[in-house]
Amino acid sequence: MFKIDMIRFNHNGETQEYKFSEHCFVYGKNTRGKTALTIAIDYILGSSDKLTYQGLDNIDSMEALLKNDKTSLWIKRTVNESGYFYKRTEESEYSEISSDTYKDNICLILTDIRNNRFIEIYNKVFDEHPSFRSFNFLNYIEEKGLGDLSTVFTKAKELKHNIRIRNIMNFFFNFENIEQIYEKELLLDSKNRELDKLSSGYQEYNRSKAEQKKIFKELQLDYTGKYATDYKTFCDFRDSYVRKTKTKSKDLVYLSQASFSLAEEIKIYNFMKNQSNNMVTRKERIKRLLSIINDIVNDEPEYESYTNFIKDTIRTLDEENVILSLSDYNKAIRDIEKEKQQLDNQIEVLKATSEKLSYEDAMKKVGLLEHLFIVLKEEVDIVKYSNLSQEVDKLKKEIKELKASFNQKKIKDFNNRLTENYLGNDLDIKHLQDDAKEDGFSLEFDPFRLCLFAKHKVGENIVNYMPGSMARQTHIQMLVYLTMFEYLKENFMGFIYMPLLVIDSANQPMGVDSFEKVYPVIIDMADRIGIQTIFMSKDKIGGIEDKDFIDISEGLNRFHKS
Amino acid sequence: MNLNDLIKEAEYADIILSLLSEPYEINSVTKMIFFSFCIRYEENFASYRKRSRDFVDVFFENISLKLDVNYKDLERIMSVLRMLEKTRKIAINKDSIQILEEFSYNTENEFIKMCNGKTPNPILEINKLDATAVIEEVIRYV
Repeated sequence: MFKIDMIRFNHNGETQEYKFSEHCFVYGKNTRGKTALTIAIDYILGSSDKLTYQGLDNIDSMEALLKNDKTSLWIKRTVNESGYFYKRTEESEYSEISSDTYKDNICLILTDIRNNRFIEIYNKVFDEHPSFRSFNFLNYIEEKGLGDLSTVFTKAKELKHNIRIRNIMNFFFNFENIEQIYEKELLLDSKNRELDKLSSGYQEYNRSKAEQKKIFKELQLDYTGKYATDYKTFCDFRDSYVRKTKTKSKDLVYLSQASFSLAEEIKIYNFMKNQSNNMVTRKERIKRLLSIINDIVNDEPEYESYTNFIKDTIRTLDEENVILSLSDYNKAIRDIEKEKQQLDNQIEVLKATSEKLSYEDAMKKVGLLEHLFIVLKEEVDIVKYSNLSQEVDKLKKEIKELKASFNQKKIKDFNNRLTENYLGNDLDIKHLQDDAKEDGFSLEFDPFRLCLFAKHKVGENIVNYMPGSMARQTHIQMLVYLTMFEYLKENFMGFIYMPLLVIDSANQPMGVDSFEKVYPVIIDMADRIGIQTIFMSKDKIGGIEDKDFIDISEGLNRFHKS
Repeated sequence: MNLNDLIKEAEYADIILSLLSEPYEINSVTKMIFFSFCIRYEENFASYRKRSRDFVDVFFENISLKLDVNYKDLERIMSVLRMLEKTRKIAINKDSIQILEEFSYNTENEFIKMCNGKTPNPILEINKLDATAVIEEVIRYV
């Protein structure tokens, strides 16, 4: 199990040391340095804030010994120069390193079995390389946020952390979707690269094909779209400059009339489609107006006689209108447009037939076609391009859907566990006993709003409410942190969060009696999960072993000038 | 009834009496209700001066928004009509209003004052619609 074994303050060759057990109890009255100790721990663990806290003055540097079951790490930070140092054994010299390497070294000692996959996915999702400091909101329950269930994680009170923490909660509770998004995005990247390679060739192919079709039309040559056939047609023309006349086409006048008539039909269908749409919205408007009038009459029945004429007229007007909404106008319009397009194509061909083609123009077009046939001869795998495009579109759609969806199961399980952790211990504490008796009582932590509320039954319904009493709120708050660690241990084994919980003055809202009962339960749970705890308290309670007890009644920092 | 409601009712009373008097002499309950409502909330006087759009379109175009917020005003209008009916100033039979007691009235309403001084008079032009046509226009814009 990871733990902070010792912290040392250095000043002018003198030192002051504090040794920490797995579950420390730090006792001291007001202004003795409990909060200062929290800040000192955060500082030695790599906080980017400067050490300006009043109670930590005159400290030149701080050291810490970090241990896990297999190894240990000495770390040191100087205060004024802001230097970072580490060494592997007590006897060796400190080596100066960058702050990133400092944090990386600490990360390496946090867990025996490191899972890099979580880090890779985190990196991809947040576009940043995480360290344990990204999750340090899990490590501190600060005095100023004690019992505040509207923002359970006290560090989330600062706006700069709030949004980041919500995103991290999404990562923790929606990881399966995020993992899928990650994998699909990797696949999308690779498909896009493949598509880019094919793309320029494909686009030139398409352009050339369209140009070829146009020139064939201008030369009144039969266009089939098949390379071999079209090339033969072109070669025959190039050799003889003879164009075949089309004998079986209808005359131009007939085709123009037919096309015009279809255009008129399209206009009519569009008009009827619009009328149909208007009918639908008109019905909604009528409904709205009737609803307003009925509302007034319901409030004041004596006005009914004034509104009868209006209501009767509206109903009459509604019935008189023809129902136009049944036909599929879109399909009819599409079919007619398709037919018209065919006619228009024939008209174009006939028009081209009637035009004279000069020798120079013909030569130019032949020259162009020769070039186009060379381009078209290069094989472009249209099928592959089309398949790839479809795959890319499908992947984009899937990624979008995954981003929008969310799996509630994990949160539900978490909340069930939290409620179990809270009610499971049969402690003789008033607020707990009251809640255990509540019908349908449960706790619900919302990881996206970072707030917690309770639920209970009122009549037939389950109703949310904010639980009262600071003692209850603080108790629940501590359990949220620990249940969060429990969740991470089960679902994110090997991830780089620090298994440490520092709680500042949690005893205060509870009263000594309650705190004495709650404390051992909290410690048991932390021990079971493998979390080191450091409790700061103004009250001494019984049952604390000497090895776990740190007394700072004389003041935390002996170099402090009061 | 609170003070705001009372003031509103007084404003509608002003409008209704003006519409009952010359030159408007509106004799349809339907027209009275919708005209009074639209006149009370009419602020866009400039459009009536420009004449680029039909008076009817300008008059009814925002009725949807106005009804959204103030539909309860229709009750105030009907309350005024009820008072006039009970005090035997008018008689109402189905949609028809008959004036029982002649009265002349000078309006305080700014829109009606503006219309009184205009030729053509927008309210008189809109009054050419019958009750059914007015309902059609209201449906179109609501």
